[in-house]
Amino acid sequence: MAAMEHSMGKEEKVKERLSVTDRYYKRKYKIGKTEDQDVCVLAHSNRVCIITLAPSHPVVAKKKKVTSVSFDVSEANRLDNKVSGKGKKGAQWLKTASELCKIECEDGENYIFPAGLPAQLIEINENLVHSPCLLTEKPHTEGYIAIVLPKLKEYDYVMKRLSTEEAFKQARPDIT
Amino acid sequence: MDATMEQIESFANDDNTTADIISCLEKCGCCPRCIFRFLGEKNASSFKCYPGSITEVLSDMKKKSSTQTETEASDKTDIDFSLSDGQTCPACLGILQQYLDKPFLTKIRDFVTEADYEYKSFLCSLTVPVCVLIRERAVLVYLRDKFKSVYESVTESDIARVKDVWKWTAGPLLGDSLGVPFDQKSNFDIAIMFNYPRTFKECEIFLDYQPEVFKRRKFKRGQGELFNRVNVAKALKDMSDKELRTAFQVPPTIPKVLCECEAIHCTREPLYIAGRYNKYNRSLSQTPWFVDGVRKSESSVEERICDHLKKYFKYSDSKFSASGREDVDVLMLGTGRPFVVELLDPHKVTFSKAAIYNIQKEINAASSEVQVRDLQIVPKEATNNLKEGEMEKTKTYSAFCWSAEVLAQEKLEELGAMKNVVLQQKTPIRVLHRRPLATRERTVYTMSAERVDDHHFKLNLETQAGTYIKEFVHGDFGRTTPNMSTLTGTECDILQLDVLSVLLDWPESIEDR
Repeated sequence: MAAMEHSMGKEEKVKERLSVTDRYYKRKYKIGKTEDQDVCVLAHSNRVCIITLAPSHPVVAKKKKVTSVSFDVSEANRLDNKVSGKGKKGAQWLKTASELCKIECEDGENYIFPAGLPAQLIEINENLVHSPCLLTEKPHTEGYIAIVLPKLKEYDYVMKRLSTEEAFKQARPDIT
Repeated sequence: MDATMEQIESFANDDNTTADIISCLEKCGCCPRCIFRFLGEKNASSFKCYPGSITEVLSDMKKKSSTQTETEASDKTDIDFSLSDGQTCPACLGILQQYLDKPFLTKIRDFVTEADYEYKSFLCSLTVPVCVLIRERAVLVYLRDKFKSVYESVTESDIARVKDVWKWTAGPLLGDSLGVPFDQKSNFDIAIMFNYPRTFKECEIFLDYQPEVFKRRKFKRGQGELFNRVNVAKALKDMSDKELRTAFQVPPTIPKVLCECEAIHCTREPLYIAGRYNKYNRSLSQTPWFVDGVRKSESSVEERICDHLKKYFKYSDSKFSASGREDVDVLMLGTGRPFVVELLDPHKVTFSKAAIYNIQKEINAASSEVQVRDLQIVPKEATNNLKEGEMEKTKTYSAFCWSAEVLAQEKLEELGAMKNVVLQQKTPIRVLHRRPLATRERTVYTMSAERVDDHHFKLNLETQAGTYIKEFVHGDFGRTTPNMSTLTGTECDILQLDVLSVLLDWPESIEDR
């Protein structure tokens, strides 16, 4: 059991610090047919998932300069998503291949980014609209794409279908 | 008490009629107390005497009649069910007979003594079978038939209720045997439930006459019996005397069975204990924490406190609430967080200030992880103070933080100079699964930062209630702005958090001995 501490002692805290991401989230991956479909899902223990670009995605791997991020995709305008109440009523429902956003780069390349797992769309990262650079600078924190919530009943199944860190490393050996 | 000294009430204006009424009720099989009731007696003291005295009074009143009851009132077609030994009264089903006798009262006394409660007074709550309502009405209808002028404007509300008569009589007797007074305002209740097995059968006829009143409301939670006081009373009200005569037996039948005492149940009103707690452990939740039936944290503040309270107050259940709460991994320092525990049905309630102080000492000695102060019994109304503090008051914290880059002293001082920083906090991801998505505006009133080493500093803050401190430090994926990362220009994280104070003046502070 932790020693009784009545005030801040230094030793306990200054152990190897895990980042917020690693402390509270498990990294899971949807390995796409090609790297530009690679999704990194940060799964919180409470079932909420953060959709981010996998490190193998060309935008991250090649440190591309992103000129714009648009959430107006063929299926819907993700910015129109409105949720209310604890049950998140009114949320858009996503499938694994649903389009989340369109990323335009300075070099002319465009990428359609998929959801990566079936879930309810809770929140889209609107900051990407005015600060698209966040995608390359902080792809796994401030540059997240969306926050989603898989169905409770499906949760275990959905998580099992995503790949672990090891499986991801094996599939994408070029990425450190 | 000698009832002959009192003036017995009667709806009739003259002694003759009164005597006739008494004979009539006797022939129906009514017990002496019910006869008193139907005569119109509503004085508690008149009932508080031995049945023998009441019978005497009644025969005295009959003698007053100048006419011969045998020849005059004797109608050959009149039935005579005069009370014989062991016969149950058709109006009260025995509640005002056997259930006011010594054996039953002794049974109550024994039950209460065994239940082992502490009480300075008591009250009784009686549950009387619903069909008594019908039977009483039937008696009234019969009396209206026989003595129209006397009873035509008399309604059920003019007749003393079975419940009340029982309490008037049994109350003082029980009080004597229990050694404490009967008091309507007591918080110790002896509940006695009577049940008459033929209730359903007797009420069944209503379904034909008044089906709408008894329609089962399928979606009502805790529906209860099909025939209850409320709907039977309503159905009776809507029924005319004529209808009643066709539906029911008038006068009511002599019951073949005595109604039974289904249960005797003691309860005491809840007691409220308040105090302040400190939490010195980072793996203790405030209340027991279970996920899918599995315990998530070894124990809780609530259990550490209540396990001891239970030993002394001997209650059946407790409800713990506090003025806000802190995460499992956060310490509660300073003067502690105010809390209240509601103790349900406590058997023991008398504790001096010294005794409470000793319980507090015991809780504190049992584990150094949870410490309690200002433990005291409080009145129910006082518990409102708790929630007041949660929303309005300021809280102060100490956070041990990390920064990716080294923060210069000027930077730290800059933080100290910031006042009333207004934050826009989106619902933190860690609670997003159970809270609605929203943006909350919260203010950090003051801050001060103290360097620990190149990458660590201590941050003291004073914030508005409801501010998520952890998210203010690490930014929660940029969803709380501004945050420490945006304010310092480098990535920040929080390694530990302590609550320093919850500024609420309640409960009253108690000096240590």
